[in-house]
Amino acid sequence: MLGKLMKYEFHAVSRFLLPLHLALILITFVGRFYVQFALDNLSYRFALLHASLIMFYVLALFAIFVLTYVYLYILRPHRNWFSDEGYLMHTLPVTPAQHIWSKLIVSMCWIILDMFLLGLSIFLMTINPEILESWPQLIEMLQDMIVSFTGFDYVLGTITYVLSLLADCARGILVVYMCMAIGHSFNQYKLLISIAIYVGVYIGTSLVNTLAAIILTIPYGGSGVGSLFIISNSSLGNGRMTWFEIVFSLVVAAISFFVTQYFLSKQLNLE
Amino acid sequence: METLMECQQLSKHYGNKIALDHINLAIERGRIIGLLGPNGSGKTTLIKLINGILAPTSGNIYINGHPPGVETKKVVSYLPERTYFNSWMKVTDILHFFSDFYADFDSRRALEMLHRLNINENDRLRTMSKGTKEKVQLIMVMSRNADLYCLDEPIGGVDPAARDYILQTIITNYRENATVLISTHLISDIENVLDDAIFIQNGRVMLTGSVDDIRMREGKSVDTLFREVFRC
Repeated sequence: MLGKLMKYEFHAVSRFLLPLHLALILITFVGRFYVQFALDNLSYRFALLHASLIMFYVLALFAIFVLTYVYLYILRPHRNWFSDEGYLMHTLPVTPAQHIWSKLIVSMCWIILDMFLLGLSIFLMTINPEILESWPQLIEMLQDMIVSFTGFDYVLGTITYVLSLLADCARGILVVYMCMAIGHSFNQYKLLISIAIYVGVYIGTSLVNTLAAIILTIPYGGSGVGSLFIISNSSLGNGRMTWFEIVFSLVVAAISFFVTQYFLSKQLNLE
Repeated sequence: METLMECQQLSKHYGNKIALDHINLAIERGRIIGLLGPNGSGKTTLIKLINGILAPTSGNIYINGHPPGVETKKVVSYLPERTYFNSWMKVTDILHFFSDFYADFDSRRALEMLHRLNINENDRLRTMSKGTKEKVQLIMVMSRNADLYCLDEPIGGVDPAARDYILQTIITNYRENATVLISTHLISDIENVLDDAIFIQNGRVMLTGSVDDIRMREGKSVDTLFREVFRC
């Protein structure tokens, strides 16, 4: 059943997200040709046009990014679970857990694709011979950043960094589902309650992360509160912080999952 | 006769409002049952509880001996008051959807009924009138070989000809040992198809019994009795 749910979920969300990302590819394709034209015509009379089109490109990227997130995190689950469609979805012979997994997996796939296409677009728009020549130095700089940020060697650092991004993504999605599910169980002020819970969870998790950053890095030469603002030179401290972030994200994600599951099965309040 | 659905001291509260108040009910197989009551009497709440989209405040409800969940959703076919399909969906998308999720869905039967209404599989719901959409939804629901069909106000808001079509579809498409539970306040239209009636008001069951017994005992039609019992 999970496979079938995911099939229909992919089909439904792709109706909106596929044209959006095809537009991104088209903008990138056209933009790349324009960039070449602009570089060959760096004249004062085209300055306003160049600046306007750069602004349009940046705004388009931002809009695609925001629309993707808002659609996957909020609009799609709200419409599918808590509007008239909910009468169809919640009477299917599937468990609430399967509903949550299908949306979570499909959303994460699309977010990963979205991030990849956005990154690829920026890369293709900005690539030039000078950047290509300094590519080895850029890679080295990236490796150093990963090592100092995660506290591990380049390979383990990359793996843990990707894991922390995935865990963070899952946590973000599941926390929003949880807030929506709790808010919707009330008869009034559903949206306000959802937002209030989200703000509360955000403040709570930020506090925990802050405390962890202080506690975990001090024994290893971190500067306590200063660790919040600078990347510590302590790889051991940063290593522990990286693992903490992964585990903490997964714990918050798991709690959000089970709370959402409870509210979808016991506190559903379809009007 | 075998009990298909049973409610034991079933209650549902919304804050201070009591939607269902300690309902005790047993529904048998092979019956067409009218769940009759005025607006706000608790009909829709009871149907939602049967379908697992509401949880009881107290009491129990069992379908085939199971509380509402995955097992009961496999054997209960639900037609809500509202259209629950996406307007961008084509009829063929809906057919595939039902075939995928419900093992008891008979797509051939559904297609026959759709063709009789001159509805093409490639038509999108957004191109259809409200009445046609409701008919499509009804056809999908009645094309399942379910044990219990729950139809919430299936004939409200449609013209008399459509009502006749809907009632005809209901009668000709349910299995003999299945039960159809029809919630409505338009009694006169469905009285002739009902085997049993349940009168509900303010969340309480006022009267249950076979329609024939009610007519014999009361000496009047169920519609007339309804108007007397629920007089404003």
